[in-house]
Amino acid sequence: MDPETVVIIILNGMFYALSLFLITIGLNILYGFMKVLNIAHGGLYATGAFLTWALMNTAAKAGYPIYILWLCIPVGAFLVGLLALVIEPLLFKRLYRLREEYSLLATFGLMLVFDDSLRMIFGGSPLSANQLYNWMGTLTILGKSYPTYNFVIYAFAIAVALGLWIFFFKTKMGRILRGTAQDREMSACLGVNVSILYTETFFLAVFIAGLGGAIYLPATNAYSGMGFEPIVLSFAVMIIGGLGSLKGALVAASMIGLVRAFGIALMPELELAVVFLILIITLIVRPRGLFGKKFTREEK
Amino acid sequence: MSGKTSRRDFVKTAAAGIVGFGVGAGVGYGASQMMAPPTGVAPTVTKTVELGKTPRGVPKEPIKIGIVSWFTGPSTMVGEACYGGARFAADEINKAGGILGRKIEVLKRDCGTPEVTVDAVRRFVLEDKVDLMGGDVGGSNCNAIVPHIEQLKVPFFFQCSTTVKEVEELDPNPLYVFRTGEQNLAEPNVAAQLIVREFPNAKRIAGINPDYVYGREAMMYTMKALNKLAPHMESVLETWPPLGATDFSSHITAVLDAKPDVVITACWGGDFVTFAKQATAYGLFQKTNVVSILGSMALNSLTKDIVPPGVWMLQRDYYFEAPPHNLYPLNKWFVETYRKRENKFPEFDVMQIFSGIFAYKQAVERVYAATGSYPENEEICRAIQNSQVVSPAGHRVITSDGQFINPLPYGKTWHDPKYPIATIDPKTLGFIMPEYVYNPKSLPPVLQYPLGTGMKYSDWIASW
Repeated sequence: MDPETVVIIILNGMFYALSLFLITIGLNILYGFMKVLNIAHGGLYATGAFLTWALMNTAAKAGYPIYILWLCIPVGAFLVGLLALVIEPLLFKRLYRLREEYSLLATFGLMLVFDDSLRMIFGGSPLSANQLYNWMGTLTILGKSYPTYNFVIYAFAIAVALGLWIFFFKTKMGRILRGTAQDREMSACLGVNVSILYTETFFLAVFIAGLGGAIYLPATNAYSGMGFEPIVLSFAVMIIGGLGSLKGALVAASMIGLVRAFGIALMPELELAVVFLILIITLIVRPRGLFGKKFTREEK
Repeated sequence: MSGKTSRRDFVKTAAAGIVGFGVGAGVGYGASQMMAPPTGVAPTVTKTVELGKTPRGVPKEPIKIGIVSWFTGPSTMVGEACYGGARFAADEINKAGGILGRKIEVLKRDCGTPEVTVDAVRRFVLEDKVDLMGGDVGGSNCNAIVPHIEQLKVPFFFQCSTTVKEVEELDPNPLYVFRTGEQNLAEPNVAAQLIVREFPNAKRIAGINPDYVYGREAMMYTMKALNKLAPHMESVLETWPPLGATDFSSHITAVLDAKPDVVITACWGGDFVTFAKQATAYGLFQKTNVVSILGSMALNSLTKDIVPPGVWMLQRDYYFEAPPHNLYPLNKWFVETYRKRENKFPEFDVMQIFSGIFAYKQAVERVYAATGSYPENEEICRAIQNSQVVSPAGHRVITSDGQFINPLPYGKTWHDPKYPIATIDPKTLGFIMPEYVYNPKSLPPVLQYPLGTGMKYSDWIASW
């Protein structure tokens, strides 16, 4: 394998890793702060892709300039975020105080509702929005073609990671949120409106899920059932990185992305096996994940 | 021997059936032409009205067709094509008065796992009392439901999805099972012959195929056929993205690094759309030759910015521009009418179920005309076997084991200004004849090549 190919493999690995990270991060926020395991996150990711496709398709047909198509990405994600304002009070508020099994079951049902609804509205054929992907064109890196749009995903993912870190660790609201995650009753006693705080956090997590689908759409396509595969891998990332850990999600996603990319080049038969091998080793050697908090006696 | 005349005895004495098998029947167009028996074709029709019994009258109830396929998940487009094709056929037949006056209703049920598919089939028969069924359900589901179909004695018209195991082991002598599409492993054979024809000097072959039974077998059987037809060709890399993958970049990079002369891909549906988009960005189509075995399933999603000119694509057994519209008006009518109905070009699944339903109609009418009695399912199925049907793809021969066959089109993509999607360049449109694709056991004598009986598919390839 020549060095140029190794560079492309690393870039491919990071592309996959950061795409995974964008999906996992919302899951991690919900689990880390609210202890909700949200399988419907895959459905929200898919909704982001479909809504953004609808916006881009409409804008492209109307002949709007390219910057309007770029705007479709955050607008699509925001529209998904608005869904949070419906599903959080209707369903999730009731799950906060229940054990994880309940949220797993309820959100799996919600995932199916999302999938069927999207199919009913948009049909079963894959939907592509290629304008931005084609407009960005390809770069030649060390003599190899490489899609420029992939760098947009790198930039978005890194911006989201940085933004979330600043929000959670450098702002007053982030501190309140972390405090509330540790002791909800005490926060309420101190005057924090926990209900509104949870709704806002839920909006943030759902917005990021929608953003993942929206930003990934130009590089792939929107199709029925697209939320299922990423949600399985996202859980693997969560477990490897440590439940609720933002840093862990980034490191674990990078590990999976790079190992998978080299695995495909060197041992293509073991593409998925290597990902889950890392998961198994993590569970044996460090069950709480790379950056997870120590389990309490009760959790054990 | 009892005094009662057995069916066999009666058949010996009172059979008025005529066995006929003609190739080259006249060409008509439009639904009315399809409903008439093609000129020069007389399928097996056996008079089975037992002496002293009243002939069965035409039932008053409508004919129910049950479509079992994917109506949820990433393969939804397949179910939509099967259901759309069945409704298209039903509407055309109903407009012309139905089958012996019986109108047709089309029902649908979702498949999924083999258990769910078996349940769907049984409920169709036992609860909905359907008269016939159809659908593309995938290989493992097909294997699961075939024994039930033969047991329930209701004809099932498969669109694709039938496997070598089904053909050779599970149901080698089918009565109620019909394959209106190619059996899955005919395609690798077509791919191998295309590669030998178009790239005779190629040596290095690579694959990007979905990681499940169909993708694995597509690659394996293509290489098996190539090893016989062109022993100088070798597989240099085989990659296996999961079904429903959203990222093919690592697979494409690995394949490019292997410097293949030809890349084979059996990715289909949304997978092929994503693959093609990313392959274009990585320069795969520019740097090597790509042969897509099943990308045409996503026909309506293959826009010009996704699929560049020059990609070789198999079309299973139907491509909407073949036979050419100016030479074959039936196909023109079919494509235009379907586009008006669904705002889509008809995929091969649409043609397959459409021709299956017309073969059913033709059989019912012929048996009734010959016997004066409304036929039982067994009689209908026997009348379909060893017959042929006029279809938008041309005449389709139906073998004694229920395989619908016709020449299999393929070609290289180009960007025709009159279509919004990448289509096949008419200059490159070619056909692989069925005698080079199917096991000779399933072919009628006039099409057999090489002559032989009881030979397994892999043995046949090995015998080349």
